[in-house]
Amino acid sequence: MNKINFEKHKAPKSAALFGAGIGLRNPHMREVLRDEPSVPWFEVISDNFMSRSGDKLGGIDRHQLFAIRERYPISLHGVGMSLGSVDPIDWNYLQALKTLASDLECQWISEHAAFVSVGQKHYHDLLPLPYTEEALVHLSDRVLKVQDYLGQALIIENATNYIQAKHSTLSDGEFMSELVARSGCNLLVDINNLYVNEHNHAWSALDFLDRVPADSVKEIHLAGFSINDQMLIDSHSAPVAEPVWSLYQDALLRFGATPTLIEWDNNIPDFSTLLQQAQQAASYLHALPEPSCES
Amino acid sequence: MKAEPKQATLAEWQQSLADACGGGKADLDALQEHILDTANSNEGLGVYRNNFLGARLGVLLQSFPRLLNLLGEDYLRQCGRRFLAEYPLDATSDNMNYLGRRFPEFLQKLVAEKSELSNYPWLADLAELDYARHAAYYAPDDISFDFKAFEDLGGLGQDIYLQTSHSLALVECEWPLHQLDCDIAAGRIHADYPKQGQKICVFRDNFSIQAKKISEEEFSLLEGILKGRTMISLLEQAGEGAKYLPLLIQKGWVCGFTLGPRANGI
Repeated sequence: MNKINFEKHKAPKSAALFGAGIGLRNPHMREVLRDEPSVPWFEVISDNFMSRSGDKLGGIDRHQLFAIRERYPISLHGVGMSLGSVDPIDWNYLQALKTLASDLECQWISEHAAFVSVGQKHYHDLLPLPYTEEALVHLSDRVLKVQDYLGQALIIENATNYIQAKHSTLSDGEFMSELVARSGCNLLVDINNLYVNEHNHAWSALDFLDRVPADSVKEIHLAGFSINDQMLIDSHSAPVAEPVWSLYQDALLRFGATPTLIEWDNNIPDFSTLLQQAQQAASYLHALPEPSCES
Repeated sequence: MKAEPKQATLAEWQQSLADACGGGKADLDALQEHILDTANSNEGLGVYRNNFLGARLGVLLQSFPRLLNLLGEDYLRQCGRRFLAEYPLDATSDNMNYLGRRFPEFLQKLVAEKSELSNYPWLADLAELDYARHAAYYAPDDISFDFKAFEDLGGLGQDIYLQTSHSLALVECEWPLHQLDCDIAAGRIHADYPKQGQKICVFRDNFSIQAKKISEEEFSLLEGILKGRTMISLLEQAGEGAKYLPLLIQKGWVCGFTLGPRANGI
């Protein structure tokens, strides 16, 4: 039996993220502990590990996560905060998230510019906000409150939209840029989401990349889409598509060497496939020109 | 002339979209008022509706792997759709891990109703075992039994309540459930199984979930703990069976204790 040597090489606490990481999902956790693959960092879905008071099914074997944290930097990516919801903020949820982040000594917490619940019912999907001034005021206010509670800036991801609100008055890039300006949050730019939105609604992905403040972009997500009739679906079920790689390179030219993550959530392949995708992302990161020393 | 619909507030937009995710034609029509009518707007709406149903069905399928082996994906999905319609509140809880909590109860009714399930009188028990394994996987981690603190309690036995591992669940069945479970996993299910009472303990050992047949005495002790009986009353009733308690602690199935009001001086 392979005994895990927890002391072998502890990841530095509060380590900064760099290079191309992988979204770590349950089927690969034991393999990662056993083989200790060369991956600069992992991201986990925070909701899967949060233990809320009185919740008997609040986490999966956190020992595994903590053992992984001992070896690798970890970022927490949430799907259940429902930041954009008109429901009251779920402080119980935030308390559990804060505890998890503290236990893991993790300084990277990301969420989505979306809502997942309304009327106290959860819909288990990232539902889109209209890009209006009202939504912007509401979301900015919530992000400020959450950041204040967590004691750190959130990293907010641009959403995939399959429908368009008739009364939207801002583009997605304008909305996210204003969110940064009003709340001081950072951004996670999901390149696949941009590509899917561009295909489905003719929203300009390059316009988004040009509009958002480059210094606020702290992370990039890459994933694969599926095709359903005329529509692209952000299914995280396939390799990163060629045009998404191309858009990723456009993003890197604007934002510089940004920590990048490969996400794969459905039809999850062997870990080696994820590793290969991460290596491809890393090759683009390494190919970036060295930053100039001249002012 | 048709009046322009008024612009939706954020709250109206959210409720309208949420209703359309799981609702009928009227809910869809209501949302159509607020979305751009494009070549793919209906398809886009369909994505959210599919996601709403698909996410929950996906969790159900994942939570009941033996049922999936036995019934096949199509049939289990059919059962799942009906379950989600009949138990809508469970389906909108924020923690999807609870989604299948009442699925065994639903299946019990279904077995009585569906002739094609008549060969599976133990189907609800199998579902209970599946759900126990699923719950064990997602249970919080335990702390180790604090023997020193336990020894220090001295004569407070009257008011000590033992605690089981968070992951532990007991399944009691009048069928050979353990064998059924192994046979279904191996794809060698027989035509009929004779009734044979069994008691099973499901728990998480380090990183793996296990389901083990246990004795009457072990079951009785664990059941007593889960029902909140004091340690003294458990041991008194167990008689000879009390000898199993140290073994249960050794296995990590009993991993802690609390003190009642008397021990706390209340």
